[in-house]
Amino acid sequence: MEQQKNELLPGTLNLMVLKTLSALGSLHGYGIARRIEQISGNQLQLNQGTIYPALLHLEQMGWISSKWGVSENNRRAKYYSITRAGKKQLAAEEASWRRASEIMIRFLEPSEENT
Amino acid sequence: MIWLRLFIHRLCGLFLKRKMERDLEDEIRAHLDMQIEDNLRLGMSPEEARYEALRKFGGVEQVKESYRDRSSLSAVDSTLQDLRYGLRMLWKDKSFTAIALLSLALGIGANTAIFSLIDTVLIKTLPVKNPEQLVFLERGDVPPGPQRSLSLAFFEQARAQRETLAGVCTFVTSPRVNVVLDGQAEVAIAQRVTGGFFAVLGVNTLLGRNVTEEDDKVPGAHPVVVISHRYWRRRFASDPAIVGKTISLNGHPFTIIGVTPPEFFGAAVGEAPDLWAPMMMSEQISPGYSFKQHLNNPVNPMLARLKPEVGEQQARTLLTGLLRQTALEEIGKGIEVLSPERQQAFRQQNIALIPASRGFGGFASLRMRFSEPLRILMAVVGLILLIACANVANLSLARATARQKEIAVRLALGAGRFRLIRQLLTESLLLAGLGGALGLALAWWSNRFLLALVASGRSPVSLNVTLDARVLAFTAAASLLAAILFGLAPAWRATAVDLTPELKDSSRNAEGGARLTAGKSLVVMQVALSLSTLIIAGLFARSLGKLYTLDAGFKKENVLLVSTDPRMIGYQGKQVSALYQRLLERFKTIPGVRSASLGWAGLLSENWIKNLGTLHVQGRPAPPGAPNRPQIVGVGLEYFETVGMTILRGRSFTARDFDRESGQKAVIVNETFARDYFGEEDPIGQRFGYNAAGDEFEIVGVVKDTKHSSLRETTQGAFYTPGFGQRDTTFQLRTVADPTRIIGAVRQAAREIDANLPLYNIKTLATQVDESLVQERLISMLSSFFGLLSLLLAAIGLYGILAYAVSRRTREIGIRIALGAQPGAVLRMVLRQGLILTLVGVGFGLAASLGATRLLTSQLFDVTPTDPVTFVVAPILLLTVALLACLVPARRATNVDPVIAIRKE
Repeated sequence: MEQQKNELLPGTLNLMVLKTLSALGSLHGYGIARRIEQISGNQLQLNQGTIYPALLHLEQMGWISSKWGVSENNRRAKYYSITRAGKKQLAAEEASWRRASEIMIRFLEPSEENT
Repeated sequence: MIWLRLFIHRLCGLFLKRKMERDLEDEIRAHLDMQIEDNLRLGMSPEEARYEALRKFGGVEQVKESYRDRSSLSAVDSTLQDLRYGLRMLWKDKSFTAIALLSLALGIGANTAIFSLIDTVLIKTLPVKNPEQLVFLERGDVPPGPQRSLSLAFFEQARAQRETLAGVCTFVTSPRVNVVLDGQAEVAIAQRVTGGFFAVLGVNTLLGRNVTEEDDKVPGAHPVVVISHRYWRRRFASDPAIVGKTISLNGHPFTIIGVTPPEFFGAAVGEAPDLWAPMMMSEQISPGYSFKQHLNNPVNPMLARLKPEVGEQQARTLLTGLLRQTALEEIGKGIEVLSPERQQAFRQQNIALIPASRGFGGFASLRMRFSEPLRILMAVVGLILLIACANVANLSLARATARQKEIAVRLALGAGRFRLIRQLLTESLLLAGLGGALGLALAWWSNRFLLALVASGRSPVSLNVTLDARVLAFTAAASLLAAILFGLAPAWRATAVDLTPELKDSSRNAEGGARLTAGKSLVVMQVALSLSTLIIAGLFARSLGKLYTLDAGFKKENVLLVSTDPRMIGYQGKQVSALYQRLLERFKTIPGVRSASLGWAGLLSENWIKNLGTLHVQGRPAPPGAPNRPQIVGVGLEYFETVGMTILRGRSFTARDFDRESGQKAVIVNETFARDYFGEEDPIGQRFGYNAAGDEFEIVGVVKDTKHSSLRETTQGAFYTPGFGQRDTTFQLRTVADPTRIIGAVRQAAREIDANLPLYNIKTLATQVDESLVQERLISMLSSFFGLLSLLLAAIGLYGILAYAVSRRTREIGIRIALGAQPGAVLRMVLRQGLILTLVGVGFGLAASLGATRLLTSQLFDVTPTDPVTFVVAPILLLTVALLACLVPARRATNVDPVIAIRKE
């Protein structure tokens, strides 16, 4: 059975891409998409294509850089890697997400006790 | 700074668009290939693997689109796209574009031309430092006219007022000064100015220095002149070593001390002196100037610069105080000695500050004369623009119908309505922009001609139209307004589509009917507006016609006028009249000259002499209420015969009347004079004069009234005395044939008598009459032109709507013909439709005009604002043209082939 997949929360894709690149180093678009799917345990409803506009945006912001390279199976592909500014941004966004999710969890826990 | 970084990236994206597109394609292909390979490894069939990869990727096109949105400035990008598409659409529909552009170019061009004229004549400020601080000082408590002038005593006081005013000055223009340079004589315009003139205006010289207070202290002591940039270029070929050079003005040597900057034309719009000299040099510049004081009293105009920290209100209060104080000093005693009424009047005395940019108020300045006609013309061209917009809107509506299918398809494919409206508005803006550019070119081209028309009056006028920011802004605003007017409604309409029937059926549906109604109301409006402009044009043409056929009291055909002033070259006293006598004798011998005479004034020459003394008639008191200041004109022998004036009673002058020694002073009066002073009595033999006894002059004849300074004036009393005088004069030569043919002979004759004698204003009397009507002719010609233009535009509109209606009803007409309708009946049916629209428009137009033409009253002459002739002829003209415009589509309707028409659907 196909399980219920979660919609991607707005603004989270950028963070996921940055985190992926920070963890795995240089990677092409397909690799980034695969990695996000794996980490989410295939729970995420992700149109792989949407990461390209996101990558463009991140590059325009100067958080990632790109260059053309050759893939494992000899294919021309664009490789992305995180920049110093990107790492700073990642740290800031990670912290803010942690705070936000902690608040959400704290908010939700008492109501769970009541039921 | 994030937005800046994004902006720069996106700006680059705009130019790297192709490369980025290609890179993205490569990236997506690589992505899909990798996915497919992975899928194959998982054991899917190639087809399955490919399908699954695409499914996971999501919509390729959507990704590309959102990528594009981010990769460059999407707003700019899509605007460029709209523009390209718009241009393509306009290019495709050439006949629509041509008619629309023509309408807009004419509409916007007419508006720009009139506006730039208004800008030049009415709005532009003086080209000096802080022009808003410059004011003309006048009496504010008396009606406009020369009596507003302020006294010399006040001028001197104001000059000492250093706290309120940064400076005060006055200037007098001498329209003709004889300039001799290297033996060559020429007449130039000079202005005598008080020492503070250039300091008050804040004008620095391009070369040399200005006239200063030091130059204006002792009469005759400082023969210096500043010359205008124009004169420097024209007469001295921009000689850089001009300063220090000596020229001769009316026979007196003057040293050139400076050249004004090119943008400076003088202290009033339309005026352009060639030289400026100190007021103290008046006697040299203006021959016969015999006042003891070198300033006139009263002083007019009085130009002052307010101190920046002094408000206008404050300055007025201070100066009014000064005015009353000087007035009291002039009386010499307290206010109590005056009668109560005069005390009252005294307390009401005050100063008016007239912004210098408006010219000297109360006088017939260029601004005053043209402000009303220009405003009327502006209103007329406003109507033209409306008609033009209605035309384009109508065409756009018809075109929107033709594009209905295209728009429906685009809406169905998911185009946003606002995106489509934006696209259609872009097209409108493009059209208006192109129309505006063409209009600007048209205005630029026609303005030379318009200015020549304005400047062809009697007094020399110098104007210079420049394409300044105000004119450009006006054109842009007019184009934008036009685009909104004609573009928005059709765009809104076109995109409000019910998709299903539109896609299914070809075109004939209810929506078209609604569009036709909108088009019809536009046509009715056009007809109404066009009729209004035609009526305005008609009223002005009728006024001008009346002025032309008006009996001015003299015969303007075959008369040549030649003016001269021998005082410029040193003639004095009796020498002047002796020279005139010799010239007259010599002129009479020129072949083709029937008779010759001379006279000071009159004949619409804008010269006039009014004796300000009180006239006494021998043996009776001055009649109450009668104008006591008749005009006085000195004339030569045969004057009345030469200019074609009719002697009604008594006799004309004879040679004996010119003999001063005889002691007889015969005069001839005009009808108005005779009626004013003697009523029904016979004036012949009566005596009157400026002396108390009233026996200075004896009336020997009565001439028919003539128009003196303007054809529009009500004739005033005048009397003619025999005598050449010792002043400038004008010769009249009645010729057998075209008077311009003898000009060469006249110059030659004058040269024989004195080679240095300056001759000026050589023209025919008919030309002089024409020149006095320059304002009327300007407004009449332009309004007629605009009237015909509006008629043409309305005809195009009418033709368009009927042609559209006929094409929509082709099927119906086909059926009618198939059922046996005669061509005549079909013709009448279509014509009726067009004529009903026209008649409704004519009705509205007549009603509006009846109400609005009252505003023109002051500009009309001997024509009522509801002139029946105009109100009948204009609608008939319009109906005739409308009928012709309707006939073309009506004829087409009768040629409908029923078989083709019915099958077409």
